[in-house]
Amino acid sequence: MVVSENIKEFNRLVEEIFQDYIEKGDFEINVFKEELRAFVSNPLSSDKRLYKLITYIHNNKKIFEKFDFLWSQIEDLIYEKSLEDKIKKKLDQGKIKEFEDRLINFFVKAGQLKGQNVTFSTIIGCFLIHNSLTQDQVRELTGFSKGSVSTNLNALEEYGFLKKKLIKGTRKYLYSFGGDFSRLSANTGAFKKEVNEKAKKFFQSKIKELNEFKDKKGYKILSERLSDIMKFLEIHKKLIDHIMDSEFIKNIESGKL
Amino acid sequence: MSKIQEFDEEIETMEKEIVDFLLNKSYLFTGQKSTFMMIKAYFLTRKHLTQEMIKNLTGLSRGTISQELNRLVREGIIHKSDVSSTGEITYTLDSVEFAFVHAFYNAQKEIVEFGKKLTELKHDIQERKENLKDLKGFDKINQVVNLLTVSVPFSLKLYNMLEKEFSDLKG
Repeated sequence: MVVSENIKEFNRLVEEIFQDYIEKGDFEINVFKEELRAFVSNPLSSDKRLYKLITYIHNNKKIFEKFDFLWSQIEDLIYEKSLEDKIKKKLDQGKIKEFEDRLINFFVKAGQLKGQNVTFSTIIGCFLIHNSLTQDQVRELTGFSKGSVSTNLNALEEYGFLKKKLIKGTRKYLYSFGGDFSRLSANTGAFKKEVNEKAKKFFQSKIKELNEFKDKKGYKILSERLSDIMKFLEIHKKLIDHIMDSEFIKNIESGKL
Repeated sequence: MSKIQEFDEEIETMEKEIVDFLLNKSYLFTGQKSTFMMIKAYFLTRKHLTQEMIKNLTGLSRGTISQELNRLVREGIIHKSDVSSTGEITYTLDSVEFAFVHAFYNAQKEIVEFGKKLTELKHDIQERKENLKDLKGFDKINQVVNLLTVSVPFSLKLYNMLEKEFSDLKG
């Protein structure tokens, strides 16, 4: 049996070395083994702690004799530490996820106020938080079906919210939110103006066309309705101008928010 | 006499183009449910409609039509304007403008509610900031929350403006 004091010192050393691996982002026993092997087979290696550990084992005959026992100590320690670390990471991720979910809920509510459906708003919310995502990642985050995610991604790309890029060496696309908030606001603002202009032109031409059919059934009601739609487009344009000129949007565009 | 008017073929062809534009090309109804948009679009062109006519125009099932009609009534976009001797109901969409912006216009209360919830969320984040601030994703969440917070008073301002435009229009 190894003297308990030695074990203590030994454990302290292993823990210390292992802490480095956690910081590097590796926390697998196999990584540690490989490092150790590399150290033993490479005389130029400069890891002082591993050196210390090896020397320690060499100088403590009793420990050295029970090397298998020691090794299982190392494995246990590393396993325990890495588990702790993984659980902690998972919990932390959970905390952030809770806020993400609450935020996305806001997007959905806000979208509903504008009459948008839940799928559409949820996906916009995901992109506002994560910036770039693949179709699979969107599915994973939202739990929506493949078809519905794909339809909405296509629509968002068409509206100019998202840009897609083929990921090298795959057939997958990475969808990215057109940069940052300022660009989003500028894009959607300009886009909405364009939408309004396009609609105005369309309905003007229809009003003209309709005037060829003054004696037909349905002429009167349809021409009244088209003129009402034109009135709406005027209000719509005023609102867009107001939004684009507001302090709120200016602050976003200048990056103050 | 029924308010409902048949459309001649030429007018109906134009109507189809208009509905197609509204649904598929205009982006004015972005992200709304397609059956809801479709029925709304026909109310925009026809003003008065019965369930039977909607069925002929859209080809949608009775169940879907009745569900969407209920929603349109509930949101104040259309109302029941007539019941025939056989019990057939005529629905009417009076305000074209309102049909485009109903969701936003109905939303004032909800925006206030939205603001309250957001304040709560901000509070929760502040309270747990020490534990969260070093985590991946925290900055982003903070940024989005701040953005939403300033958007609440802004939305209320827009709402007031919209309301004024409507009253000018009516007055």
